[in-house]
Amino acid sequence: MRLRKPVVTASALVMLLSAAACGGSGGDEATAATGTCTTERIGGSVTQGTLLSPRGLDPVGQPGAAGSGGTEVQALFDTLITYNAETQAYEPQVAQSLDSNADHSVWTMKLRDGVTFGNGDALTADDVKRSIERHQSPSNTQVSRGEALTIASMDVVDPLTIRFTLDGPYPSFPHVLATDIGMVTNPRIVDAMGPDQFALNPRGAGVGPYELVRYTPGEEIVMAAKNDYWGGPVCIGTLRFISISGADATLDALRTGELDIALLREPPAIDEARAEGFESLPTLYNYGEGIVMNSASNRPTADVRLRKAITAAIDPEAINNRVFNGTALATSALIQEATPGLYSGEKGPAYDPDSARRLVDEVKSSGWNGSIRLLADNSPIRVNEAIAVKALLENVGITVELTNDMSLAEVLGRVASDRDYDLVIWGPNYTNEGLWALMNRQLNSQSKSNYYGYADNRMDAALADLRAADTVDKQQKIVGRMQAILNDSPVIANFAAYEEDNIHSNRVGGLLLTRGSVLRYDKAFVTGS
Amino acid sequence: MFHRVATVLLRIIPVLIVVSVSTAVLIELVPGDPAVAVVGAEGTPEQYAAVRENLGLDRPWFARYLDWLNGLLHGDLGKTLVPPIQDVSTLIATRLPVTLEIAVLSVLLALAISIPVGTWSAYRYGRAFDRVASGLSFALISVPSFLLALILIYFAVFRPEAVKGLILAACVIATVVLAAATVGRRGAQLTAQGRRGVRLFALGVFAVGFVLAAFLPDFPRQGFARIGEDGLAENLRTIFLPVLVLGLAESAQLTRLLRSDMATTLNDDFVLASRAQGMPVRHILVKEALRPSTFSLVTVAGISFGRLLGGTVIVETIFRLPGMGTLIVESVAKKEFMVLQAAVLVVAALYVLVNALVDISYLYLDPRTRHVRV
Repeated sequence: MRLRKPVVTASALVMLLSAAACGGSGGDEATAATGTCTTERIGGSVTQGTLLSPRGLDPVGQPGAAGSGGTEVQALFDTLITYNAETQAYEPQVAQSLDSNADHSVWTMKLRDGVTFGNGDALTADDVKRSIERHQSPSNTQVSRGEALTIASMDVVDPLTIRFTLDGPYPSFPHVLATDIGMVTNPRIVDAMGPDQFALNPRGAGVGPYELVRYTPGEEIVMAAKNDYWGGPVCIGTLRFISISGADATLDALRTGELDIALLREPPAIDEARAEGFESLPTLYNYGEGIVMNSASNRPTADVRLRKAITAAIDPEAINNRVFNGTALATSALIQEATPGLYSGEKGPAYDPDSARRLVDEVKSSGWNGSIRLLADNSPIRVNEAIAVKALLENVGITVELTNDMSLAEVLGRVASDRDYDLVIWGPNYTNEGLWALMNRQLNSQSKSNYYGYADNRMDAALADLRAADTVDKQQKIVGRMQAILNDSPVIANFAAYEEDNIHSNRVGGLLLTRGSVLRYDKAFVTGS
Repeated sequence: MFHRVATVLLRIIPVLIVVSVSTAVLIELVPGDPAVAVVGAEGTPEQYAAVRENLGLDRPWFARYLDWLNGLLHGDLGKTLVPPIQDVSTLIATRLPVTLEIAVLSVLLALAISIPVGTWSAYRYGRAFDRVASGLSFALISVPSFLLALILIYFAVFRPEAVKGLILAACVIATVVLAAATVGRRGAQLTAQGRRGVRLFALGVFAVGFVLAAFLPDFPRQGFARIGEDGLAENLRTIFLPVLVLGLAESAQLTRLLRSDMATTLNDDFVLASRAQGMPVRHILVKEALRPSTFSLVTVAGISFGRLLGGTVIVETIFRLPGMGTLIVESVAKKEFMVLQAAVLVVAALYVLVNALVDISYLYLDPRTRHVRV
């Protein structure tokens, strides 16, 4: 028909113009919400994205990290002591005070009067004791058991006072009560429900600012603010936690407002979020990404010369550029220079491929066939890291058999359970808070969780000194010593520290960052709806 | 007929037995150690061994399968291995309705699109409408569902104003074209009643476009709102995009199928006889030709429904839907064999049941099949 072509052309033009004219709007550029929770700011809701669904809502049995339930249980149970990430100091939270004797082997804690659980029961010292005993029980397979066992005995002095006698001097003992161990669970409710049901429905069992409304494992956790919280008014009325996997999906959700807060780990995603104007609450993890070398006697990497060759072969900057587009904190050091208080100036192993080749030739001449197995999980970042590492190792004469098609769970099994690996792309993740507890578990030759097979008397002695260090200066010197030990007898060829960042929109203010990227919501508020 | 129905239903049992045994064997072949998922990365070798013993992970697969079967026959599907420890039946009860809702709505949407489009394409075989419909169907069949999902997300979530503008523009253009068809030489070919009908239809199209552009809600990038907790409106808002993705993908093949069958049926003698008797087009298409053309459509729709019940993992992952697909994939990763056995059995049972209902529906669609010996 004569009119058909002009009609079709005109139609297409109109639709294109309509779409262009009605393009999506950019984000608003409100300023950050400042201040703290006051009665005038009560109201509103917040949705937070998490990396993994928690293993239930019982503090006993938690890995203790923000990425897998740490913030959620913090909101329900609070902690006896809190770690202030800004001042780098421990402060009493549910406890009123925590004092030690001269050598820090006996600690006396007084509880605040008038603190109640969600069901109205008063919080007593006996409740604290029974709660911590749950963490010490052999049925607790998590990290917290080892830390709870630093407490040799507990004595209830009076209903609000408890005395902890430790297994030795431990000036950083407040760290223990700032973790899941310091989250007091109402023992009467736990006994009545049993631990499995309690983990699904801990209503009334916490002294935290929030009470559980709904928990659908793998889907969402919804909490409502308590109006009788011991710490005063709780501003944000409803908290909702959902797990979203993948940095891209998380960023999308932040941009559309479906999430107000999310924990990001990937350096490029963090960079992008900050560039778009989102607020940031980062936590630095040292020894964040590297190549863990199995030092067990039946492995090629039992030979310290080979481990030194591998560390010398790794160029952190090259990996940073190749994998992270330059956005990561490239370093081979134990402590990255931005770590507050602990950086002593000691450098990690230098990138020295010539030295690496010499050492590789030496080890080959001792009978090694030159081949080594490298394990990495199949996440996109680890696959890219593994490819870069393989290239760097082959550059110095090492033949690498790369396996990077396993899930993280399978790699965990091979490393932690079977201990069947030579090299694995891994991040031990040491924060400056609780450093001794983290390092001792993995690097102490007597630790049963030392799946690196690492055994060095000098490191054992340094770890013992680190536990007993009562000032940041002393800790810094000991950590400097540890760097020298690790340069001489490496266990990890580190190439990056990394940040976990609680990225959040401008409408949320008053968030308090505590240990392990965990957020406290007791003083948080929202502006607008 | 009752005998036919009973026979079809009884065939389900051996199928389910084969599925459950196969699942148990396949789980055994999946690498990984559930003890690590239970204990975590910081456990000691003794703790891992203790967990394996407590959970029976050190027993042979057929011993674990027989225990599970015994539990199933007593109505107990067991508990999850990895904390939080939950009843498997409770877990499936929370996930299955999500998948069922999305599968049902997707198939209904697919049928709502494919039946009118396929029917009219067959009637206008080789003409403009048929060519456009076929082209769009081929395009939808060719595009992977995850790509379609990402495209819809880009427009519906991040460019909602553009989508509203496009909808309004498309409706305005359709209104103008329809109105133009009632004037001039083309309009003269229609009766007065016909012209009135087309103009009313054009007005309806404009009104729908205006309402959609004005009141189209914002769709979330991901997540699922349950009816009992957030209400029906919020539930439909959260599942609209995933249902659209799956419905469009299924409608493409159903449209092609119906178009072919219908085109053949329209050449049958009884249809020609109806035309000769002066029956209206609507009567011929809907009352005469559609029913005998739907055998393939019903069969494939049943298969599609079963496939959607198994969960379209990619769409569920993109939209973060807590359905059976993601449950099965997560269970494989964690080697949660109790969950996997139960989930696969439930999906298989529903799949077989739906296809049994499809078989039974033939008895209604074509009474001649009632007398066919099995």
